[in-house]
Amino acid sequence: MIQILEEIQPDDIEVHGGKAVNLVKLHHLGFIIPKGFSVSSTAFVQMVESCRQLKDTLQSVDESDEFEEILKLSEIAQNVVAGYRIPEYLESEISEGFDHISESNVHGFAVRSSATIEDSRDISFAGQAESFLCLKDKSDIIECVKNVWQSIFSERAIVYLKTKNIPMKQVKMAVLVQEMIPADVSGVMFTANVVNKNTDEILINATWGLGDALVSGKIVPDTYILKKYPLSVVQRELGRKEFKSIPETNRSVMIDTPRERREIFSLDDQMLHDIAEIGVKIEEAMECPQDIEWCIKPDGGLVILQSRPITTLSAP
Amino acid sequence: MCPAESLRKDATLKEVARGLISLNLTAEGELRYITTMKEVIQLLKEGAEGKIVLVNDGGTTFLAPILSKLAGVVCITGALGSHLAIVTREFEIPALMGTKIEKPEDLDKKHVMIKPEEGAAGTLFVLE
Repeated sequence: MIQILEEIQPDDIEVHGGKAVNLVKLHHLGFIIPKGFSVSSTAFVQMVESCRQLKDTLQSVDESDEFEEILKLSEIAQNVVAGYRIPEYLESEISEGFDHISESNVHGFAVRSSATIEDSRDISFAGQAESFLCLKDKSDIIECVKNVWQSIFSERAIVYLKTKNIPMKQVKMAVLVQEMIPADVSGVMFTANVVNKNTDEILINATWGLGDALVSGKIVPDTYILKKYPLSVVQRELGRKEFKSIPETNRSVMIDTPRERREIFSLDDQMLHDIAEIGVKIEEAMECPQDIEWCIKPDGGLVILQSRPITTLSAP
Repeated sequence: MCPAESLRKDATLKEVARGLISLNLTAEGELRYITTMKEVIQLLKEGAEGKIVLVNDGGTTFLAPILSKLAGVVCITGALGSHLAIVTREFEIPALMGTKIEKPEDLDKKHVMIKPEEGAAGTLFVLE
């Protein structure tokens, strides 16, 4: 049920989901990723199979086109998962996984979705499932594995899947547990310019602190556009970076960014160049333009948190 | 000539905000300021086709039921890496992010246009 990230095989997408498998590929190629383990989708499938009411509800979701009915079904499905008791053997395996990665970690752990349909060439599933940050205790991690499962039955996730014509019975959810990185700077890099679909350009968003403030759209980050060959900056937009996300026990919190930090760019030319260079290497290794979440540790090291194909370049 | 075309021909464009645009596409339509799922349901019933929705933050994920019907999205915060920008691109509609609009309710039901500018910039106009 549990697999240490480094030991996952790159073709294990049906078991560990798109996010985990993409990270493993990057690890094997020598990029730095956070330590972690995956709670396989088998555990999720066992949960669904053991709850008759949940199976029936998901069947009804697949058969319904009525939005208001789907909202009610979503609530029922979430309630069933909330009442589910994680089996002892799974708790014990999660506990072992936790022990394996918890050495010298003082910043806690992130619990994130890795659905089997997630981070693919056609479907990003961006922001549809919940992530939980800065968790310190085993019991909180176990509870949040269940919360991530529950979040795939949220109104927004179910409606997203319906609009993509993906039946609920096809969805399987693995869950990633990874060490938290106390980032100084975080960002998102598209290795193609998603605005004009120019694959010779790179687009980077960056802000101070953890990346959840950026991806959740709570702030306006700095934006950079670079040419790939040779690497050079063609546009810079200073973002307001109103808030900065920092780690606290069992959550991240938004604090006001000091005024002097708002008014300067979060990346200098050297950092920009280094990040973009890694982006080009990842794109080459993954064989298509990528949407990459990254962060910079206090010691200056760059960590890759997620990489998925850009889903929109072929659109007209 | 459809009503939208006649309106566009005679209308003057008044710039109301600038931001970062998620796709290099122009969108035009009636703007609706949405803050709750209830308002999404209301708009779905009323007909979301061709509307432009204004939301407060780029973490807004409750638009899923109407995203395929909208002409565009305007967002007060966020940028091109926000989940909202990524998901709207999948539905091939432009999202103008980080617009810092101070009185969003004043734009409700106005006829507006989102227009890409140089680089990743974009502008929101009201058609008067």
